[in-house]
Amino acid sequence: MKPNIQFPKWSFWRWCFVLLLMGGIYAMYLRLVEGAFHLKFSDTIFPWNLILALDVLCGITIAAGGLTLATAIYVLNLREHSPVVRPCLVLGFLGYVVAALGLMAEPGRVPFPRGSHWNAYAVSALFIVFIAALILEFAPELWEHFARHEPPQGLRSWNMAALLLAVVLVALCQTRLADSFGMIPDEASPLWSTPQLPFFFFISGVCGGLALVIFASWHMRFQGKSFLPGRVAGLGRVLAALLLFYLVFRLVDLADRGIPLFVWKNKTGNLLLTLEIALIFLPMILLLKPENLQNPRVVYLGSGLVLAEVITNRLNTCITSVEMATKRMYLPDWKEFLIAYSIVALGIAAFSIIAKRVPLFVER
Amino acid sequence: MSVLLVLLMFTIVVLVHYVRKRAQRYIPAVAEQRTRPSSRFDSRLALEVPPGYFFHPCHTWAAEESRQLLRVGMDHFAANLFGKIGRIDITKPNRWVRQGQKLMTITVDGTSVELLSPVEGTVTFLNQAALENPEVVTADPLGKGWMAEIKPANFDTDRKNLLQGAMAMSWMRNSTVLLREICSESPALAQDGGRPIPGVLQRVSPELRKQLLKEFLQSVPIGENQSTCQHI
Repeated sequence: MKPNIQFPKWSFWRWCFVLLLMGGIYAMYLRLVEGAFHLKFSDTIFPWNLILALDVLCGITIAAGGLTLATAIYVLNLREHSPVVRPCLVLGFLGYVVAALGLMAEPGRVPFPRGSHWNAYAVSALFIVFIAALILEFAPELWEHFARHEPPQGLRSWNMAALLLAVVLVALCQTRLADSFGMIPDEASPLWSTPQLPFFFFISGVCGGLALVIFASWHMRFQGKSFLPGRVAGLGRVLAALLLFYLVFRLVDLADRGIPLFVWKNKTGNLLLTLEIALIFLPMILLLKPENLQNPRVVYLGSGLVLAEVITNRLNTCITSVEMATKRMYLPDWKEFLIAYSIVALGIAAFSIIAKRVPLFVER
Repeated sequence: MSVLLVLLMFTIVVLVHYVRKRAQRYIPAVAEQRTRPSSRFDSRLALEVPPGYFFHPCHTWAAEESRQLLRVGMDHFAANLFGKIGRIDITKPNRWVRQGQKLMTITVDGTSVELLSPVEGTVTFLNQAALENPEVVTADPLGKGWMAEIKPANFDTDRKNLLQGAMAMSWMRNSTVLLREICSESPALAQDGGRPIPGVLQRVSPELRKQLLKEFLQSVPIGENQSTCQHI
């Protein structure tokens, strides 16, 4: 008698994810066998490769942004925006997970200053506090599910304390990370290497976090789980204001340091900087118009452009600036491509699973 | 170069996702998924009073979407009166409306009619899909034909002036009976006394139209086109 085996139905994206993951694991295995894990920061011309730029930096950016937004909503007591806290925390946590996986793929390259073991302690403490904040955020549902009665009233105040502590640790980590670029001033183009880098990292992180919440909400609409159009319009309005703030400070910083913008020479660096500024300017213009905010598709497009800007900025800061300074071109190894994208795919898959099973975009 | 490669990769993924999702059915978010198991429904008169809907005497409705947001629109009776709607002009977002004040202007065959707001508050969002395709409003006025979201100032006070449940159904039936009495000699209504033919307003005389608008919508026609009205 033949067993009645029913194979699960696999969609196109599930197959893509599995293939990418298998490719990433195989690439990691090859790097381990080839001995690439012990490569140090000073061993290569391009110390910041695709994995560090895309996974570590972008992951930390999104995490910082999400955490800051969640804390701001609690501290400023913006009750009407409280439904945004959950997706911010979950996306932020997944951002840190992606960054951690990226660090594990390149353990020797991260240029922490000598004798700075406290960095590792700070990052570990941040992870613990973040997990605590997540547990406290979902504690009311967990409490009702397991204890079968109303949760204690003071739970929210503990969550605010945890988030405040997490934001302080995030600010410290961001500052130390940006400082590491200052350690090698000769090998970074002045287009991106600026004393205000920590501040710009932080602001773009907040913009990126908010944009990712809007982006994720739009993608969850096919499961009937998304924010109401009115709330998305409100988030778009806030994003436009943040982008305006960020753009003004970027332009003032460039002008202050005498960096010419829109130089129409055949210089890749200037063109990429122009692309970056355009990716701030375009969504800002789109989202400043009230009629555009009424169209969720336009808000989604704006949020996508902001995410593209965050990725472009991090890659430009890590890779393009060194390319310009050393006048060499960096092309990622196929193994780096596979590892970097498989880590990103893991983060997206984890979010999809969480969003389907846990009430994230809830209008409370 | 690596920057452009990364951006290109993400763009390709988003485009493929978009193309594949175009055919997928869109599940309305949050409270749009109304199963209405206990709706009061009069199939003969095609009237519906779902739970959670509050009706203004001028045949507009409000329904709670969240603690701080209401969705508003016109009911079946008003949609039936208008029939084929030409254009809908509605108060812009971030504007304040009062309960009983003008919220929107419906244009039908050159005649414009004002509909009143069921609640007081700030207009936060407009349903562009319904405003650009008024047939959606006529087909499903309580569902996809919602008009706007309003952030109410004090809904607990406003709801005392609104009807819901059995009282709302009784009021709608009475409105239909009254409509039949007013238009007793008009061919605008069905011979069996059932559901009125859609577009009653276009099928009656201008004087009767004014009377109907005043009686049911507490409104008067604006910019009436005399050449298009139908005489009994």
